[in-house]
Amino acid sequence: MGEAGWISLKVLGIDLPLLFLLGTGAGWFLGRHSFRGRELVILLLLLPVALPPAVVGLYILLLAEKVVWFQKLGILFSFPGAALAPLIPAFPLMMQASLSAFEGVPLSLEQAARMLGHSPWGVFCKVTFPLVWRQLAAGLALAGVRCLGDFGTTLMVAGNIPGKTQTLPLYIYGEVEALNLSGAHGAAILLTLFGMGSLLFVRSMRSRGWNHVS
Amino acid sequence: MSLEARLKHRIGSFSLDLSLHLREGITVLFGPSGAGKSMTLRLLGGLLRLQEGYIRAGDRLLAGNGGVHLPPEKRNMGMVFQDLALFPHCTVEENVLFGVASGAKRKQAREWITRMELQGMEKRYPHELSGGQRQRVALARALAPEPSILLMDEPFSALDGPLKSRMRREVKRLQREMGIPLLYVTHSVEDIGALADQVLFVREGRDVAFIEASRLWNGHASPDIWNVLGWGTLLEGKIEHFQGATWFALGNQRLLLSSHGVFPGEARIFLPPHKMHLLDPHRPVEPELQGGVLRGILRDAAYLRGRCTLHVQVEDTVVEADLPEEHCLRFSLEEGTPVLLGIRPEAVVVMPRGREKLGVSGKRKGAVCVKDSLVLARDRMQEKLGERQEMIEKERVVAEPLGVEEAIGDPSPYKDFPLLVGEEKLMEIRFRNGRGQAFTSCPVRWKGTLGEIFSLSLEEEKNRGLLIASLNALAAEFGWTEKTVHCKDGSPDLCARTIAKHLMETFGNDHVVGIVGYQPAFVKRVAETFGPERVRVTDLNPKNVGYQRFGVEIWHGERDLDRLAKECSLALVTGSALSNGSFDIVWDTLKEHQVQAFCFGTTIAGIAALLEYPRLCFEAS
Repeated sequence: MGEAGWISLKVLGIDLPLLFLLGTGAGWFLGRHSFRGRELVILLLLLPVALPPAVVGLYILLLAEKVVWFQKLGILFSFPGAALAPLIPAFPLMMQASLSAFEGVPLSLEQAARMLGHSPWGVFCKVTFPLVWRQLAAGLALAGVRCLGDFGTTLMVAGNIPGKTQTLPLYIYGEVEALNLSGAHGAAILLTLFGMGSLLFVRSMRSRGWNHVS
Repeated sequence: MSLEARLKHRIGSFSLDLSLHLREGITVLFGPSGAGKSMTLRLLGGLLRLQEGYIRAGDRLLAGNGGVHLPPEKRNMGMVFQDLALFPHCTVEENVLFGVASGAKRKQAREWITRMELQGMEKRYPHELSGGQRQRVALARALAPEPSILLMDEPFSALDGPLKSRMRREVKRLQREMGIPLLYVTHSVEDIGALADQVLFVREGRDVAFIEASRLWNGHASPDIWNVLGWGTLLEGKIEHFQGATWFALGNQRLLLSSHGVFPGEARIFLPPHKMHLLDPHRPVEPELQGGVLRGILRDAAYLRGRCTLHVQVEDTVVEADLPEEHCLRFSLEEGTPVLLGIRPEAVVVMPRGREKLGVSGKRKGAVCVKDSLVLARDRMQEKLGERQEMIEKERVVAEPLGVEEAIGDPSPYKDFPLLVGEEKLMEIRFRNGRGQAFTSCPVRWKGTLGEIFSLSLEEEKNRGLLIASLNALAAEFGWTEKTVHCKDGSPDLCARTIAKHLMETFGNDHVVGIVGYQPAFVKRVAETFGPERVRVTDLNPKNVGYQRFGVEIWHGERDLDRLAKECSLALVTGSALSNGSFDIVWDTLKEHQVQAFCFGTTIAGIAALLEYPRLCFEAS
């Protein structure tokens, strides 16, 4: 279990920063720009969360089979695959949280800050980010939980190779298959605690007083 | 500091096209929802990138001129937003100091907290404040960085009555203390009364009129302005002669008009609501209201502050009347009651359609003026013709636009005569030996009798050009005036030089001279003679407005007319203004400010002779 736990931690260590950057960027862009086809882009980016993990995994395998440069990345049945596979179903959760957060900041606040002498980056740091960071953090926590708990996509893309691609959920599956329920139980408790901790964090990130005021 | 802008911007199907000039004081930008008010503010503030036009603050170009776009943070403007846009995560103090760099300035800015009576609330968040307190924080925040211009976007629309009045007083006091130009956007008439030094009326993205607030309440408002304000009644119908009088036909009813300067045909009339009378059906109609009676059904009556507003269904339209409350209380006014409304003939404002359109189109803007010198000149001409009237009914004439060479020859070195740049054409009519010409931007070829021209509707600019040329031809033929044909080659320049010299010799050099209508030779020669700093020029052509010509900045023909009239003691007015119908507004404004005004140019030759307007013309003088 120790090895699986360590691999899960490494996956989180790689995925959380990526989720934060990609999800925040996409949410900001889509929340602050309007263009033809915007709704379609949002739909496509959110789609992985609505698909069964096996389907997402299958698409990745098909992609790896058909696209040469994707093959060259060598992510199939390797640790990079185990790290990147959970990103895909977790990303929509982060992006949705970020999109809602940015859409919830009235444009007039940013415009007021510009009129008061601040550059666009200054406005982001002093106005926009302070107003959205709680929602971003909550979104990241949920996406992290989804990432850590991913089973189907990781199994399809990276397999269940102990010491290499076996994360905690795959370890539980392996132990259950081997009828070692008590071995699986320890990992399950660990994941349950992590899930509860994340949810507590999400709840604690709820709006402060000023957020209730439109 | 002043702000001058010409804004042209399109978003989707909405297009904005307006000019404004902010001076010290409060300018209220008034218009209905969707008129483009907020877009105007955002363009001025730099929150939208201007597509066409320019924005200039003092000597600084903020936007325009082929892609210049100073970002909002570099414009030094303050803005108070409709939703106030207070930063919810910042305390009162943090909000107020948000736009102030750290250092000594912050100490000064902190004084705004005291000035706006926000002491003790520094550590509170916006959601912990009342509506009025939040307004004051927004104001303090906008003013703390010491902006050179303040923009306010309907900031008090969500406040209740007493608080709104208090905030208005506070804004006015602050503006007076700081002395910066303030542009206040609103669709509330009360804001105009409480705040405005001047008002810019906008409708459908166009500036309809610009007027000093004091003049607005003193009967100088045009029906166009009233229309934007949503007051009074505009009626469409026909003017006809009947039993020796002039009437406006409204369904089965007729309204007597003052016959002076009113001609049969399609027309729009405006009934000022405060000029309406409520008549007692059991008493005879007062003599001065005879013929001015409308029968209708009361739709509603509203009472406020000693006045009552009635809406009365007359035929298929609703007429508004604004009366002293006691007049209404004399009657039992219930919905559905038959009522009689009266109006004196001279109180009915006749709006020629074409000129009303001028105000809306944005091509030639201006408050609609009922007096029309062209109409008066036509009447005078008919009187003078007397028995010769038959001539103009029978003899056929041809009107045609002249080519550039034929019209003015080679006026080198000038390249920007309106004629040369295609802005207008010189139209000519010959009647026997008399040649009459007129500059117009709507030239036509026309064959017929002068009598036919006399009966044309003057709503259309092309007909005005025809009539002006006809009057000039007749005046030339009968020897009532000289110089009805434009001079050529170097002569316009010589004429301009002579007129400038004449003004200098007659009146001395301590005058500021206004030129209404950009004419390059005149601007050059007058500027040479009096010095560019003593010359003011207005023009309606956007290609000239805002630019320097011969060291003189060209002002906006409508918006800056008052300013020109105030600053000048002498003025030259181009006769071409007769063609687009702006002449009378210009002339009356100059007279009102006791400016010694002279007409110049060929176009006005006949009319000046008929109506005895002073005209300067080198060869004729």
